[in-house]
Amino acid sequence: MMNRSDWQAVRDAFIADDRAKLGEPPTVDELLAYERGELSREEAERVQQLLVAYPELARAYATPFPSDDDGALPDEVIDRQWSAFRAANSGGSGRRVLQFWRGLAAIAATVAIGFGAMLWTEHMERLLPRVLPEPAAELTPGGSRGLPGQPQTRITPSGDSVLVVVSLVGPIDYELYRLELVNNDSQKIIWTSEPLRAKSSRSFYVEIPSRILPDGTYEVAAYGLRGNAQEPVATYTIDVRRARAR
Amino acid sequence: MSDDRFEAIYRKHYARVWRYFRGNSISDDEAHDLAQDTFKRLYERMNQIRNDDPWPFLATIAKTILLNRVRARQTQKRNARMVEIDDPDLIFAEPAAAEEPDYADREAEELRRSRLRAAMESLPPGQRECQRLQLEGLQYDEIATTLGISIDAVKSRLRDAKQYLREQLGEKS
Repeated sequence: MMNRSDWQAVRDAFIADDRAKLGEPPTVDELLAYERGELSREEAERVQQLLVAYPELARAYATPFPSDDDGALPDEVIDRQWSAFRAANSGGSGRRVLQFWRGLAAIAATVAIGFGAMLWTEHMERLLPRVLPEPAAELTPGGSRGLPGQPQTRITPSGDSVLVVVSLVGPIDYELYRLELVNNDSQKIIWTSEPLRAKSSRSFYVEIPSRILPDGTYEVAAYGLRGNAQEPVATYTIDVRRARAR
Repeated sequence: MSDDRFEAIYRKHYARVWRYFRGNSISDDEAHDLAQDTFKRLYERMNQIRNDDPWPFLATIAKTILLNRVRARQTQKRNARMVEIDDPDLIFAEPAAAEEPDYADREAEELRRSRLRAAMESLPPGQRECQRLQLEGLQYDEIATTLGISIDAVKSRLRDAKQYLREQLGEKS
């Protein structure tokens, strides 16, 4: 006849052996999946073996929920617990507001990082050597070529930018010049240069990003600067037309 | 969901959730703590309740909390700190051990236990699992839930297992 300690010793030995062989207890997710019948046969058998090896977990897993009729707690107990719950969780709306601002701050930080990265990339690109495009056109002042009132030069942008050469002609020399690019259709000034010192060639090389040059007619105006005054020196008309895809 | 509705759910189901935890040998106070934790999680997930009856969702939360608690304790036991044999912490303030059984008694004890173990190991796996869970104090319905079988199947396996063990161990029924 076996005594109680014999059963206990054999039970302990079985558990120790099983745990050494099977490892950690099943996760809660595994147990819930097992309960819902979502595991394969092999996985379910493994969970069963683990439950036998971890009987405390098996007991918790198998504990049935009491029915509604199993007896209520006194009202004062429920009242006390409810008050405690409210006190501990009353900051719900405040927390939601805090979570909103935290979320917003996270988004702002992400945007800032992205924007910073773009700026940095652009900055680094500016530090690298760059091959300028071939001059698209050498501009001469209006009236020197073509019909009066008609665009003087046609440009067909094909890359990121177009390079135009603005040549000054005529006898008047200024120490400083300023250039302007105007959209003829909208009469909107697209770009105004800083004061430019004239070179011996009396030409300015202007690289214009293609994205600010939609198809249309533009005017490049050159002004001579004298003190605080500026005087028109020349205008150049360009017609921008992209090649149509065939 | 409005706070009024949540309060109604809380008041209706609190005792049931609390008794569920108490049914797992958890103290009154800790059962209250776990019940509060259950309702807190429900409160945070109220928008996930798909139908009018929140009980299935609440029951799943309570079960998850209970299983997490038990599992964490099991894992803690497995990861208990190892000590060297000459570690000064390895001193237990316990009464002196009872007098050692003599050699003949120890030998008889080892023989009994090895026979019992061999008999248990020779049981079919299904019967052995039922037998072991019953040794742990699980009821028929709890064993059935754990192993995913019917209560009748549990009774049948246990009856066969006991009959087999009696024969193997030479005990009369």
